[in-house]
Amino acid sequence: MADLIRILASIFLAIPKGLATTFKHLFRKTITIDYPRKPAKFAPRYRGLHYLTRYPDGEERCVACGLCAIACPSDCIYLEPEENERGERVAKLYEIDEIRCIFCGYCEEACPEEAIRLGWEFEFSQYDRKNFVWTKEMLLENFDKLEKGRAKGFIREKKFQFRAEPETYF
Amino acid sequence: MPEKILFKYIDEPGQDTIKVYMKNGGYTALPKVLKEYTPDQVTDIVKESGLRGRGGAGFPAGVKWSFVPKDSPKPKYLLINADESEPGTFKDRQLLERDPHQLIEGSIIAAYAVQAHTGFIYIRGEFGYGAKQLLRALSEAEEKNFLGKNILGSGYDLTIHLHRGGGAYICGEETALMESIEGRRGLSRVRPPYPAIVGLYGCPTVINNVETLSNVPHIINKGAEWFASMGTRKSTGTKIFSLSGQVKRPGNYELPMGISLRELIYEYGGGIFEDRELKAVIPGGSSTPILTPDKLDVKLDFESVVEAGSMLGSAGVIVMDETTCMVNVAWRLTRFYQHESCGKCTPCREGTYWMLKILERIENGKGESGDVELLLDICNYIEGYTVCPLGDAAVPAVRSTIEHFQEEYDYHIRNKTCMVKGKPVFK
Amino acid sequence: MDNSKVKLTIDDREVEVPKDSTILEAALSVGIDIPYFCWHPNLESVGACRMCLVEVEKMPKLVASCVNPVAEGMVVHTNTEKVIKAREKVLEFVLTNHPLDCPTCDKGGECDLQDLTYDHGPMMTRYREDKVRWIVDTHYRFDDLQLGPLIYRNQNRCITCFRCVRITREIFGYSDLGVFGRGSKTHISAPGGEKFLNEFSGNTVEYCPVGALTARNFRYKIRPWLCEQTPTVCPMCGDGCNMTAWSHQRKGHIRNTSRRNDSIDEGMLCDRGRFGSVFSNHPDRIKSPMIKEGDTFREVQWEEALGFIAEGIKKIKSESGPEALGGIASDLVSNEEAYLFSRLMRQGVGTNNLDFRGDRKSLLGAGALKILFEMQKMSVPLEKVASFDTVFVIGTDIASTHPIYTMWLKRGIRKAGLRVLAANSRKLDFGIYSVQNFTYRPGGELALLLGLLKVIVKEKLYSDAGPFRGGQFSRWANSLQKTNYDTIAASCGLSEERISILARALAESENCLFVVGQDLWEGPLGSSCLLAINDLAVLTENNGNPRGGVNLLFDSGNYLGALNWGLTPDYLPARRHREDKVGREKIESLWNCRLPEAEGFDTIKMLEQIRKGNIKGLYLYQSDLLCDFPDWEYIHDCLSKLDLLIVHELFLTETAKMATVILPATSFVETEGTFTNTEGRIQRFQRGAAPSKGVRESWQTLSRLAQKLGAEFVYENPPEIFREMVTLSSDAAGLDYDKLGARGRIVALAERVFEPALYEVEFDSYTSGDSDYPYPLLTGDLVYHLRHLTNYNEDMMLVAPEAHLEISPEDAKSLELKEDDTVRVESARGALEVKVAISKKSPPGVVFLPRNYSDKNVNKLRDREKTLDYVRIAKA
Repeated sequence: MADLIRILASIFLAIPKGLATTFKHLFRKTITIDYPRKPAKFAPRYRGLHYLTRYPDGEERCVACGLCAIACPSDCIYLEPEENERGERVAKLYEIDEIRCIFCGYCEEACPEEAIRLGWEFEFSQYDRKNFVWTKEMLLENFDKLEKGRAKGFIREKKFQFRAEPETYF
Repeated sequence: MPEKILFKYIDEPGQDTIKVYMKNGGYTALPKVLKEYTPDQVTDIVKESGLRGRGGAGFPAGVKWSFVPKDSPKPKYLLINADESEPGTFKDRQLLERDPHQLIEGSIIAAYAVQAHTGFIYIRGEFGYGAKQLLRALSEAEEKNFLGKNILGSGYDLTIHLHRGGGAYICGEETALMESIEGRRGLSRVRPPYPAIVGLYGCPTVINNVETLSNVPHIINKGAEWFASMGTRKSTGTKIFSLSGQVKRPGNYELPMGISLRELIYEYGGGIFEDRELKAVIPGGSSTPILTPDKLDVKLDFESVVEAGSMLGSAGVIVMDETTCMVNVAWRLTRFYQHESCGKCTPCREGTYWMLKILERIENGKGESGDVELLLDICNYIEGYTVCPLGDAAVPAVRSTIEHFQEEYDYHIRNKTCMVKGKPVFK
Repeated sequence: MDNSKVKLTIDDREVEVPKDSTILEAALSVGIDIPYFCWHPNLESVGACRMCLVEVEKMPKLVASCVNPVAEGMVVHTNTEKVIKAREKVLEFVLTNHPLDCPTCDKGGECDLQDLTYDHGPMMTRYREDKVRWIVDTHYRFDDLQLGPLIYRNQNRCITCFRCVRITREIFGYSDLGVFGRGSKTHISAPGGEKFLNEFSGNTVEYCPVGALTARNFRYKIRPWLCEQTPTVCPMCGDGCNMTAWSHQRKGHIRNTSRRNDSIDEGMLCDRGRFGSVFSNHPDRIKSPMIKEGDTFREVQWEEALGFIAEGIKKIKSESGPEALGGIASDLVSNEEAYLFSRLMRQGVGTNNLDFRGDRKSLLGAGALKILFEMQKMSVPLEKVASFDTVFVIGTDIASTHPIYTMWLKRGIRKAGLRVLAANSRKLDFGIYSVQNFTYRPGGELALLLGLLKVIVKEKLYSDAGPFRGGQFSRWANSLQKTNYDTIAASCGLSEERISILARALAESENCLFVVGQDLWEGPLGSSCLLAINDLAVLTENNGNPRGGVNLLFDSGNYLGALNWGLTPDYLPARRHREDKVGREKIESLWNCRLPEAEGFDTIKMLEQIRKGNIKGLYLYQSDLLCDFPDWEYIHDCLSKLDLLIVHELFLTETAKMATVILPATSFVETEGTFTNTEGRIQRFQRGAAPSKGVRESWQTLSRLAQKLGAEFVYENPPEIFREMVTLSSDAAGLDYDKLGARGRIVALAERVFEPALYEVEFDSYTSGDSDYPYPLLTGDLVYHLRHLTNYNEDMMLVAPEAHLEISPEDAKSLELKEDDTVRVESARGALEVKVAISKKSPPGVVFLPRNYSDKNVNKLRDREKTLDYVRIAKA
C-alpha cells in the first residue's frame, strides 16, 4: 500500500516539476529563429557559397594557379588559365561543383592571391544538378553582391585583410 | 732614395721611343738571351732571382714558366696582363705609357723562355693612350727585328698582338682574360686545369703582369743575385707602390720590398692630408683587408703583410684619415664589386647585391639590428664558395671594416646618422 | 680513350668510375643524390650554380662536384653539416632575387628550384630588400618577353645557370641565344634584338631549371600535375626520338617533352617533334564517318559507313575483279596498322595494288628494293655516328630532314674532330660547326658518284691487297671508263679537281660513314645511285664490317616500318617477296587464306590504271595524295574518275573532300603500337589521350572492315597484332611487345649476312635547261614542317607561316629581288605567287619552294612526266 502511494505521489509530483522547467524557459530569450521569415545570422567564419574576389579597381584577383583545385579534397574545382590582352594570367574557366563541395575551406587556405573565399550564402538550392556548377562569372557576381551589401552595411566584415596593392605579389 | 729599377728613366723625355730606350741601355738583355742562354737557363735565372708575380698573388714567375710542358705538341702562348683595374692600383699604366719597350723586351725574353711564338698584351679598354703607345712601340720593335720572324738572326719567331679589353674588372683574372681574348664573355673558368697546361685556345699558356715582365730585362742584365739582394729574402726586388688617398703626396713610388708602411706614408707620401689622424690603410688594392694604425710598422712584403692580417696584393696603398666613414668605405667598395661581378656564380652575383643593399640601407639610416651579423654571414658564404677570386675579393672590405670598426656600424644603425660626419653622407 | 678506372669513397661507399669523370657523375652513377642546377650530362660543366658543393677530405674549401675530377683514393662527403649548410645558403642566395610568382609561372610543379628548395632550402629568407625586377614593359605587370615565336623569357626568374645558352651553342651549334650584361644585370636574350628561333629552341625550355624560359604552346595552359604522361615516339621524322606526351582529360594532347633515350636522342628533341606533333586536338579533326551525298557529306554511324564501303568494294570486285581496287597508306602509320592494312588489302580485298609512297615521281621497284634491303645491312646505329672520323652526307639537307641525326654529327665535330663532307644540290648549314659543301647541280648526283668512283679507281685509292683484283674487278673498273670527266663535270657542275678532293677525302679516311638521303635514293636515278653508293662503300672498304657504314635515311616517321610490314606491291609483311614460296606459304597459313597471285601496282602505276579506268576503287589510309603527289592536275583528274574513294584520315584534307566515304583515323597519341625508325629500331609508343567521342582507333576500323569483307580478323588490341606479325620473321620472332623497353630494339629483318659486291652502274643524268623556264625547282620539307600535317599545328604555322621561295643572293641580285618581295613563280603547269627568302643554302641558279603549304601547293607547278621541274620567276 505504501508503495502504491509512493508511486502515485511521484507521478503527480513529476508533472509540475516538468512544467516548472517549461515555464522557466518561457521567460528566457529564444534561440531558434523564424527562418525563412527572418534572416539567419551566422558566425563570422561560417563557410557558405564561394565567391571570387576582385581588386579595388575591379580586376579579378584569381590568377588561375590551380592550387585550389589540387587542394580540394572532393575535386570539385576545375579551372583553365588564359592570357589576357595585357599578358597576364587570368582564369578562362573557373567552375565549382557546389553539390560536390564539402565546404572544408581548403581552397581558401591554398589560394595565394586570396581570390577564392567562402561566403555566408547557403540558399542556393536548384532543381537540376547541372545548375550547381558555379562558373567564374557567377562566382564574381557573388562577390559583387557581397560588396553591395557591405556598402549598405548589411553584412558584417569578415575577419581578413586584402593585401593592398597589386604590385606586391612578388 | 733607394735604387730604382723600373722607374730609373721613367721621367726622361722620349723614354717611350726605342731610340732613347736603347740609349739608356735597353734591348741589351734580349740579344744576350738569344745568343747565350737556352730557354731553360732563362727560366732558371728568373727562378734564382726570386721574382714574384706583381699582379697580386705573388706567385714566383720562374716557377710558373717551368710549369709549361716542354713536349706539348700544341702551340704555347704568352699573355701579358695589362688589365690593371684594381681600385687603388695605377702602376702598370705608368709603365705602359712611359716605358713600353721595357715591357716588350721583358715579354720577348719570357716568350723565349717558354718557347711561345705568339704573345698577347691584354690592355684595359680605358687605357687609350697606353694602347696607342704600345702599338707604336711594338711596330718600332718590329722594325728593329726585335719582334717578328727570326729575331736578331736567332731563328726564334715571336709576334705580339695587342688586345684591348671591354672594360670589365673580372678580365684581369687570368682565365676570364683568356675567355675574353678568345672572343667570349669574360667569365672565369674553373680550375684545374691550370692555364700553364690548358690555357688560351686550350694550349699551354703563361700569363704575367706588366710589372713582373718589366723586371725581367734587368734581371738578365745585372744577374739574379743583384736582384735577389734587393728586398727581403722571400720577396726580392723592388715594388712599385701606388700611394693614394688622404696623403700629401700620392703617386707611384718604386721602393725595395720590405719597406715599412710608416716610411711609405710619412716619408715618401709626406704624411696625412692636412695632418689629420690616420684611421686605416688598405695595403694592396681594394680587395685586401684594411690595416689599422697599430699595424703601421708592418714591412711591405708578401709575407709580413699576410702576418699582419692583410695582403700585399698589387700594392695599391689607400690611406684613409679620421674623417672617413668606414661604412661608406665598405659601401663604395661593395658597389664596385657588385657592379663588376660577372654574374656567373650564384654567391658572388647575389651575395654582393645583397650586401650592397644592406650597406645602402645602413648608410641611409635605415639599418636594423642584426644587419651586421647578416653581413658577416653573407661574407662567410661568399668567400670560398665562388668560382673565381672576385667573390673572395669582395668580402674583405666589408668584413675587415666590421672587424675593426663595428662601433661605426652600430652607431649608424642606432642613431641613423654617420658617426664621423654626423649626418647621412649618402642619399 | 683511356678506360682506366679510379676508386674513390663517396659517403662511405666504394665507387669505381672512369678516370675522367667528375665527382658528381661518380655520385650519380651509384645513386647518391647531389643537387644541381647548371650541370647537364651533355654539356661541359661550368660550375656556375654552386649547388653541388661537396666536402672532400684534405681540401680546404668545399668543391663544386660538377667540375672537379675524381682522383684515386678521394674521400667525399655529400651530407655533412657543412655541405647541408652550404646548400641552404646557396639556395637562399638564389632565392634572393627570384620572384615568388610560382602561382603564375608555367614551370610551377615541375620546377627544379621548387623541388630543391623544398628539399634543401631555408625555411625563411633573411632578404628584405627590393628584388631586382627586369621590366620589359612598364604597362605590364608581368615581365614576359617573347624571344621568338615559340619561347617566352621572364628574366626575373632566371638563375643564370646558362644551360639554355650552352645547349643552343654547344649541342646544336647556334648562337642566336646569348648572355648579356653582368652581375645582377645578367640576362638571357637573343643577340641584337633578333628572334631566338632555331629548330631546337624547345630544348631550352625543357632544360631551364626554373620558369625563365617557357614555351608558347604550354603558356597558361594547364598545370603539369593535372596532365597524364605517356611514353611515346615522335613520328615527325625518321629519327624516332622518344617523347613523353602530356595530355589532359578535357584538353587532349597538349605538349611533348623528351624522354631520354641514349641510343637516339639523348634527351633532346627538335621543335618539329616537340611542338609540331601536337595536332591531335585540332578542331579540323574528323569526328565521325561521313558519306558523300551530292556535294555535302552526311554524318553516319560506323556500321553504316563500313557496310557502305564493304558493299562498294564487293560490287567493284564482282564487276571488274579485285585488281580494280587499290590501297595507298601513309608512311606515318604504325607498324601494326601497316601490317593490318596490308592484310586487309591482300586478304580482305584480294589485291596486291598496295603502296604507301605518294610524294614521288618515280618509285623503287622490287629489284631496287632488294638492293636497298641488302645495303641496309651496312647501316650503323645512330649512337655510333659521332665516333666516325668522316661522314659523307649525300642527297639530303640533313639538318632539315633529320635534326637529331644532325645533333649527333655536331657532337662528333665538337668532341671527336669528325669531318662532315656534304654533297647536295643545296648547301648544308650546321651553324657554328663546319661542313664541307660540294654542291652539285640538280640531277647530277649519279654523275658525282661515278666521278668519285672513277677518281678512286684511277688513283688506286683502294687497297690492292683486298678482293679488288682479277678479271671481274677489271671488268667493273672498265665499265667506269664509258663516261668521261667532261660529261660528269657538265652534269654535276663540279670540276674534276673538286671531285678528286672529295674522293681522296673519302678514300683516305680511316672510318667513313655514308649517309644517303631519301631524295637521292628515291629520286629519278634512285636505283643507280644506290648501286653507286654501294660500290663506293665496298671499294673504300667502308661497308660496316668492320669499319665504315652506309646509313640510308628514311625521312618520315615509319617509312621503314611500312616497307617492312608489307605496304609495297611486291613485298609481303616481314619483307617476304611475293614470289618467295616459303614466306608466302607461311603467311597463307597464318592468315588462313590464299594470297592474290597477280602482280600489284605501285602508286604511280595505280594512278595510270585509274586514268585508264581499270582501277575503280581506292582506299587512302592517312594519305593526302592530292597534296603530296607531284602533279596536282593529274592527281585531281585521277581521283575524280574513281567510283569509290575511301579516305581514312585525321583531318578533312583536300583529298578527303573528294572522297565517297570518309572514316576518321586516330593519331599516334590516340592509339598504341610501334614505329620503326631510320636505323630499323622498333620502338613502342603508348596511348596518351582518348580519341574524341565516336572515333574508333584505326586498327579497330581496319579489322571491322576486314570482317565485313569476310576475312577473320580477331584482334583484341595492337599488341596482339604485333605478336602475330613478328612470327613471320625469324629475326623479329623473339621480340616481346611488353619488353621492347625504354630503348627499343634494332631489327634488321635480314636473313643472310652482307656479302660485299660491286655493281656496274650506267651513267644517267637529267639536267637539261629550258630557255623559257630557266630555274630548276627543288622542293622538300622545311625543318618546321612535315608535308601538310603541320598545317594543323598552330606553333609551326606561327614559326613558318607561309611559303617562301628560297633563292640565292646572286640570283636575287640579278633579278633585283629583296627579302619578302612577292614574286610570281611560273612553270608550264601553273603559277604561284609567293614571297622571296634569300638563302645562302641555295646555290646560284637553283630555287627551292617548300611543299608544306596547302594554300601555296608547290605540286601545282610540277609535272610528273618531267624528272626535274623548271620555273621562271618574275616580280609580281
